[in-house]
Amino acid sequence: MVVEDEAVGEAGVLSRIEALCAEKGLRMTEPRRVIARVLSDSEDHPDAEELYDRVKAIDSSISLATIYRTMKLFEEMSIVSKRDFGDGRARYERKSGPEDHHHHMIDVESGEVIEFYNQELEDLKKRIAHDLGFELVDHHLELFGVRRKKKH
Amino acid sequence: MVERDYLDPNCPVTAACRQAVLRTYASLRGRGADERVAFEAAETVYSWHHPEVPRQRVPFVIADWLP
Repeated sequence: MVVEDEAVGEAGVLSRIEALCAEKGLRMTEPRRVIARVLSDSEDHPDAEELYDRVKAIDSSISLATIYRTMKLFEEMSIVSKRDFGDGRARYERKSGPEDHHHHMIDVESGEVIEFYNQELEDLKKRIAHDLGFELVDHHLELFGVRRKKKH
Repeated sequence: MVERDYLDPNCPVTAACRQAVLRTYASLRGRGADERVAFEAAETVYSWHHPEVPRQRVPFVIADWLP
């Protein structure tokens, strides 16, 4: 995402975004203000995921959904323009500790989430990492599926 | 906007999809999963229900549903 008028200097970009928001009649909530400030301070062109990381460092209450909603709003109101996100997917890090390590089986039909742990899988992952010349330090796994129909 | 087409509350498929998306996200968050993990899982569930929606549009669609 980039500010449309990149000729504006770094110090003036925030005012530019806020001025644009005011010009468009957009109410500036605190999350929008933080997101606008982070965008202004960015020397690169962060995607929504990177923006989320930076915003989170300032206000941890701002969710990823808020980032997407705000950027969509800013884009619709021509306050920012969207660039190609590449594949659009960040590589997420799981933050749970080893003591509660588990994975998830997710029923895509219903959204039901089942936690599971499988020692064979754990050993296999370590072996794969080892064979590739790594020591495994972190990973996460979500399996997605539909329930098999019961046979009568 | 194209994504608005998928928010039709009268569409039973979308209603089921929305429920599944919300449940996935809430369940994972409730179990302490990182927000990104829960969000990505919710995207995958949505994409399963709506494979016709380009993947890069999905976060913008489900963002309207999630907290």
